[in-house]
Amino acid sequence: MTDSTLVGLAAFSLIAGLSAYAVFAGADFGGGVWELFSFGPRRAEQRVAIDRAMGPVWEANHVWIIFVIVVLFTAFPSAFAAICIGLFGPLSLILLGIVLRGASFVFRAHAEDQPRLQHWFGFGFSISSLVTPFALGASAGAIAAGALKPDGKGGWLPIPWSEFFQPFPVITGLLAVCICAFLAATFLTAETVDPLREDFRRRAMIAGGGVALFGTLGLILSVDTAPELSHELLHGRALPLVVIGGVLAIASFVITLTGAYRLARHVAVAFVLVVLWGWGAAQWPYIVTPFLTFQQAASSDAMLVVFLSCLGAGAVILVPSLYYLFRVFKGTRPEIESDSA
Amino acid sequence: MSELMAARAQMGSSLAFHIIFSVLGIGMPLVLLIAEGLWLRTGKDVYRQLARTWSKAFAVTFGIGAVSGTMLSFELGLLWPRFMQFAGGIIGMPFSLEGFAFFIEAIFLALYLYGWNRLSRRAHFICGIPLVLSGFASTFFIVSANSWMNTPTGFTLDKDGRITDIDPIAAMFNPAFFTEYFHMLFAALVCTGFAVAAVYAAGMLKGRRDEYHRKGLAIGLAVAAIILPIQLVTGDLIAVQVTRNQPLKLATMEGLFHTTKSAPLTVFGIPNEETQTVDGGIEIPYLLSILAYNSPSATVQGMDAFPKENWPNPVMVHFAYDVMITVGSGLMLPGLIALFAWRRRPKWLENRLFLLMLLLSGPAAFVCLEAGWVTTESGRQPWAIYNILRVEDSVTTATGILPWFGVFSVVYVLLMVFGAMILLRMASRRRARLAIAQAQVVTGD
Repeated sequence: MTDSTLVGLAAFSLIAGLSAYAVFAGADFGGGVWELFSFGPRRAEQRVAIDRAMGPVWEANHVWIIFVIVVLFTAFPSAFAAICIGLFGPLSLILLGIVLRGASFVFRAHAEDQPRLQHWFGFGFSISSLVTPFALGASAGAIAAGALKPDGKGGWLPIPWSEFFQPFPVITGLLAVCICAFLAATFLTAETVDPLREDFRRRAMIAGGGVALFGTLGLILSVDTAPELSHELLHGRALPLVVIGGVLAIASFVITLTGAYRLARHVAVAFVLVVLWGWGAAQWPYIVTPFLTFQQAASSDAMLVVFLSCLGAGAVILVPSLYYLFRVFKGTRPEIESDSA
Repeated sequence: MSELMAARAQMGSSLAFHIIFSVLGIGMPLVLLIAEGLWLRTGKDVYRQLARTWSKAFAVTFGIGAVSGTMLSFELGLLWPRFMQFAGGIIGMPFSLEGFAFFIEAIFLALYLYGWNRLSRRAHFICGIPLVLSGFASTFFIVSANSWMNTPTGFTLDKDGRITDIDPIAAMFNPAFFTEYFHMLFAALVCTGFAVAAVYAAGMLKGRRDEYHRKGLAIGLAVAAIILPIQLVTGDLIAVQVTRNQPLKLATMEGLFHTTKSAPLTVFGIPNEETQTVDGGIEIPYLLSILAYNSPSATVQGMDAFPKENWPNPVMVHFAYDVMITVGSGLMLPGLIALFAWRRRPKWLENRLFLLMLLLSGPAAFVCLEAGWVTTESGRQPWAIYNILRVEDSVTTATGILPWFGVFSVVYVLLMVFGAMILLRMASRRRARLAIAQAQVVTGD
């Protein structure tokens, strides 16, 4: 039987990968959302600031989704199969979003002499920046609410779109979009100067309001839709994280208001991590609520040992490389043009 | 179209598309590094210009490759969840390691591409090294997973069909692994080399016969011409390996319907399942026995030694194999000519016919690549995991694959069109800049 410590470690790396994806790619998605909703007198400048912030790091930011997928199918293959069959439609939509987004971003960056084409790529980029996090958040909501069901023959039933667009998944989808927009705006306040900074500060407050609204609505809806989840969130082991999340949300609001932008960035990241780990804690021990636990879905001990060792060894190479990347491009010398020309 | 056919069509087109860009992702860092290294060594600005142009073009092809690779990682689950459920716990590890390798490549590509002004010359060059190594490593891990599908090892099935005794390391280093790895790696380098050479051959055919085009062509052709002879050797090693591990695949590739002593090699022709002969094929006596067993009198198993329900499609496999062998051997020609002409007849290298041949070698190398991939993948049919799990038992139970196949096909076409358009634009912009700079020199601005 599979060793529970190994399963715990594998589950930890899965949620850690998801956290990295949420923070790094989340901010990128948010950047795209703000391009879609760019308004006011400095629209063009806002767009340029978003592109400059994303350019060198977006590719690395989005590799985290591949990390999450490989952890899922290596360490929890039967859960991977269940999610892929059950959420076939939504996952195809997510995939389409990721593809359109990545391709439009690269194409737009290299089509600077064709404004019309650039405009269309920009539109593809920002619309898929909105749809993808929505579908991701809604898929997470559907899994948490127990929408995936076994077919009784050892397989799983694909969930129909009508079930996907229930209030609870829709709210978690909107929550995901707001979190991305909130992260992006907060990060951008630290990477721009006034008056652009003021624009992004205002956007951070708007998105923060959305996070508070949909977060609260989600908690309320979960009482009926996802009773086990809401029990853990409101009365059980995830309660401390919910409380900390609330405190961080208020703190982030106050800090952004006072203009301590670097601190605001850290608080925003902490908030996103608390939301994700709160979800993880509330859903534990289920990976597919309420039919499949992490333990039941896990690979053999032999596989998990080798796999976790590889993750450790990989991290030894990856973490310094990633640190170097961010130091070179997000460090203290923003004045040097990091243009690829 | 059945759901199974739709799934196969979607996976097939995704792979056929991705292989082009993944191959450039493996080969481009090497040619980049060669050009930049030559710049650092000789101080000639033309090499720096080549490296910078290539790094920009590579950013586009890498971006498309990253996107199509992400699609594949999703499609493995979306289309073949039952395959992944079976295989994930055995061969998932190389996929995870590939994730790391790809991550490293993305990081160092960003440093390389955006770091021309931010890093010292030395640091910039050094950033290219992990870029090359991570590309080679990605190939290592992905080919490991693919070769495991051909020669599945590292587990046992008990009598209820449950998987036990999993050994992920043994699965990774399965019997087909090493030959397949080197064959794929060298294919990537050869294709990239010819692609680069073809681009500059096209420029020279249009009359742009300057140092920049000559050097660009030379680097590309050198890489392709040095690697290709080694590639023919790995091809031969693969044939021996397939004979041992997948005799039915070998028989199908060669169009050998009947088990034969002193078997001839049949080139060209169309296998005919009814008459069990190869229509219009040319037989070279003893050659198959020699290739497979190093002995002219050896007996080679034919397709008739295996139940018919396990046969791959003989027409497709034999045809793809013929294309690979013919085109692959033909590609030796430009390298041989260049080798001969280099010292003795340098004028030949500027000859229109030679340049035309090089221009054709670019697409031809990729045709060869696709044909080789079709050979190995169709040759494994009807199995997803050879002799263990059939493709029809791997496909998803979800329905509605066909509309998504349609959507993603459109996406691929758009990716191709816009990708090509942007790369062409990039080249013409470079020329426009150059023309302006030259005009300034002439007028003394």
